[in-house]
Amino acid sequence: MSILHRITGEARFPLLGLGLGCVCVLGILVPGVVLWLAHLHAAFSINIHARLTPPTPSHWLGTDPLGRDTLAFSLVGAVNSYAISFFSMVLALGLGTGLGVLAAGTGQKTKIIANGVVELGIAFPPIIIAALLVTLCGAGVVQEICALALFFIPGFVRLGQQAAANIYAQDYIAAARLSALTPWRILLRHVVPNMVPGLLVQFSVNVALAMLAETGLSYLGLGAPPPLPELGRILAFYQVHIYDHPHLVAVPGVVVLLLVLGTNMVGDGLRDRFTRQEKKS
Amino acid sequence: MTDLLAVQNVSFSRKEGRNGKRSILRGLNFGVKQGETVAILGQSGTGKTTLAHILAGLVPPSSGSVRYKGVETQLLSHRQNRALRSDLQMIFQDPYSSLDPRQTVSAIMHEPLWTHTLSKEQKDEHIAKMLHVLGLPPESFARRAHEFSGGQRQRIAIARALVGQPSLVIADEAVSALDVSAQARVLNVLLEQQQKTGLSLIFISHDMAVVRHMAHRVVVLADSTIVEEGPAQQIFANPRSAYTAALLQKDLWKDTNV
Repeated sequence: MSILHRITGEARFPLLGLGLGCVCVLGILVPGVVLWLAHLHAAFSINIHARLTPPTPSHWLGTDPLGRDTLAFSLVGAVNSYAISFFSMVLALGLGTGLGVLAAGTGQKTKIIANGVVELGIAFPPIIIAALLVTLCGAGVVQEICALALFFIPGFVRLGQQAAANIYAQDYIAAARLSALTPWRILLRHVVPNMVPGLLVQFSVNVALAMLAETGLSYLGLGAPPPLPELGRILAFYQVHIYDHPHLVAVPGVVVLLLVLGTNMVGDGLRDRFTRQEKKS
Repeated sequence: MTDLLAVQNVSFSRKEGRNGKRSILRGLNFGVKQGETVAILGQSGTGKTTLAHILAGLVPPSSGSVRYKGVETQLLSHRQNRALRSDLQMIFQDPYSSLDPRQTVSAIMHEPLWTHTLSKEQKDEHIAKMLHVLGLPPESFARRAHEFSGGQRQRIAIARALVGQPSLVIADEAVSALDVSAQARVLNVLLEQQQKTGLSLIFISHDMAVVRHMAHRVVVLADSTIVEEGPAQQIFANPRSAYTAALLQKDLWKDTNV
């Protein structure tokens, strides 16, 4: 159990972790989305005469080497990075869990394919796959989403397979078969609804991990190309000023920290909630 | 009278290790007539639940055949299979595993009726009647399975098995999770159904009093095969095999934590 989980643990404050997590994530993403939709020019507009200014009422955390608002630029970068991480996990969840469920519900051949995917995914270092993908297909949002999804598909295959196998072994599945329900109806009525809690927890934890991986990729230049701001690339761009203007690096760094921490807290909170529900049943 | 369910030379073995096989059931032959209750007795681990799954068509036998109303269950067409399914039901041993915890009682009870051509109102009425007969309050309709106690869950599972008015019900330790008064109520409901609709029952139980009360015929399983079969009265009064005699005197139950 993490220190964070102990502080916000289920025993004393059951919803504190979940609430704090949501505040952290939404506190960054909501202003970021508002900036995206309403004031994108404020985040992107270059003003070379106002470069590297200290905090002012119009620029709360000062400006960057190109005169852009550091906070606004980091928040917009956070929205991009989070959206890429989120959608890559949606892709990984869909493909990985789908294959896992198929392997659990059908014959030996699908199981062999699913196990092959898992072994292959574990054998290749993720960063090599990402570099290969970017080299072959060029840098871009879609490529980055695919590269990140590839990291996590094996985990979702394994999780989906185990969870579905456990559910298929229950007597209520046999009862459904005795009621002449088709395999498809059994999947939709019994298997998927009972898998949702576990998948939701794993999904939120993996979004946090994907966020870190995405930051790493974009820091190395393997992410989406400019002008789309991403937290990793913003960090890489600001790092030369770490000694003279340390707050420049601190702002995107703290944003990454809060997003990852917040998403993890949401995952822990959801797990506690579902565990309590299971104990009650 | 021809058998409703005929078990012919059924064997079942399970893979063990790389090339090994463990025989669970060997050469079983018996039948179940309409309106008859057949009890299957045997110690834990003699394959009674596996046999129940084979009879219900959930697991194919390794060899031999199970014929329901004269048709081999493993060779049924999709349409025949659907008809069979609503006609043959099973009550499972574990009330915690036999009901989907996330479904409401209403959804659970509607499941065996989905192939029936009744209107929704007729189905609801039918379900409410069945729940009432089994002592479950009408408000349980909208509650989820995980909100009920073990005994209540087992009664819901029994109601689910009976709601579609099947011809044959396989009851695998169906009443062992119930207290004495609930047991009596359930057994009476089963007997009532039998008298009304000619329901056949395959009853797997460790409770000799229940078996004496319910069974017309008894099949005794030991060492993967049938050691004795015959009318219940005869077997209880004068068992032919020493194993059955010991079983009836509960000598063999002692070491099986039953």
